[in-house]
Amino acid sequence: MVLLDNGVWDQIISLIFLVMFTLYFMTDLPQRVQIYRYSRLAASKLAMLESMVRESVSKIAGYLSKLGVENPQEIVSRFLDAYFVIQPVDIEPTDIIKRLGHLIESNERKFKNDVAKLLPNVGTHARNNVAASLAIASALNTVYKTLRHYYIVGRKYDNWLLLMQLSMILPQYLRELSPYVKAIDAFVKGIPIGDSVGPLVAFKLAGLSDRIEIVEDTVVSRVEIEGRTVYVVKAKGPGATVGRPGKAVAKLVEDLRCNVARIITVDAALKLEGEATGEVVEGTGAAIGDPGPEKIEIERAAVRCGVPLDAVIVKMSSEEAIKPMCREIAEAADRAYNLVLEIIRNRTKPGDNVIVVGVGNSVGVY
Amino acid sequence: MFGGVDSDPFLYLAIALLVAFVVQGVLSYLSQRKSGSEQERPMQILVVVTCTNCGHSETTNFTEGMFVGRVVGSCPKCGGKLIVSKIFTQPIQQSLKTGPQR
Repeated sequence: MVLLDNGVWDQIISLIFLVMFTLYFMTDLPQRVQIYRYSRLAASKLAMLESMVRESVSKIAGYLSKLGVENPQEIVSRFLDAYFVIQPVDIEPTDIIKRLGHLIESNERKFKNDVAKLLPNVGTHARNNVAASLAIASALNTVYKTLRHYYIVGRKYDNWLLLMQLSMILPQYLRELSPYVKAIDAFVKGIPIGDSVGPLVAFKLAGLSDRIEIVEDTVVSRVEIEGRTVYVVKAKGPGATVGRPGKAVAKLVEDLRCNVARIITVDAALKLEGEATGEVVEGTGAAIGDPGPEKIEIERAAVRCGVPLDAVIVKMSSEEAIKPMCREIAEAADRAYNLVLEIIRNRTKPGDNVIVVGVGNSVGVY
Repeated sequence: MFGGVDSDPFLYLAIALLVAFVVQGVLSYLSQRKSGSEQERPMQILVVVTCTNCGHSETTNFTEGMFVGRVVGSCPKCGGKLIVSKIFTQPIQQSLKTGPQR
């Protein structure tokens, strides 16, 4: 069947290519289409992030209403934006760590006091769990608002480069942030998370021995291990808190008048892609991932008294650190415990004082 | 086909390109749907309780209020304290091993 003759087809195709060529090279239509595509992709991912924030808020609100709090949704929303820390002046570095530590402590105290006012009839551990959950929701909300800001700026100024970057980075952010929503379940139910591996090792050493609150939210237990006196420091559990391990070590070293043979810190550490979860490695230094004020306390105490610092780390991904503890990490805690015992046996002698610090969040660990 | 243009290589090229674009579009859409619908495997929370005296241990399911270090009863073997020694998650597909462990 003959529809059109050969010459007409040639003309139609030539015209199509001419129009396409003109649109592609002589107008900004391709960029417009790209902006539209990237913008839609970024918007859909942002909507997913927004739903994650909403989910976290509703989870906490549900828990608060279970605890008998009125208007929980409104209260959680109020907490989302209310707490931020302005970084101290860094062009004058003198005593910057003290200033940073002071700001962090002040903010934490304000936050905890407000949570305490909100939940006057709830125990400390449940209150700490609520505070940790609120902190997570607040962090999620901050990330969402920052990314939304860049999205709106990209749309406003037709900045396709910004929209393209956003659409490419947002799937990664979503993947990394989704465990935070799950972490709220862990905090609300009091299940240990990956980061609790340090306190778990400390528990293995201290068992059910007495806990003395040496500084705020941080306890120390004294146990005898093969003739050595071991002071086990950890955050006060089983509520969700990381305590102040640095200040606790500094105070302990001072109380013992520098009569300490070794300080061993045990903490979760981020693995590199390709490394196995639960790998236990030993190194030197203070294994603690705070912004600085706690870590420097341990380092200063160790330097002042000439005490060697051993670090035992359990490797995991950032997702595993915040999610409920998986089997691999729980089993790694046994290996880390044995490694700590080995260090005590091989590098100290009977009669020595040893400090072991289980760094991390003590949620679900006594 | 298209009466009289069967031998035009330019037309064949155009049609082939069009088909390639459509196939690529469909494949890209399907792969996006697949990655979007990837769900995490359902997990169960397990609790290991251990006797502080004889080391006998059992694995049970988690119930709210449990924490590592909580005394949950007495050992069926020696009467010592049974405490929660581990709480962890694992994919629900794996069989729940109960009873004595090493």
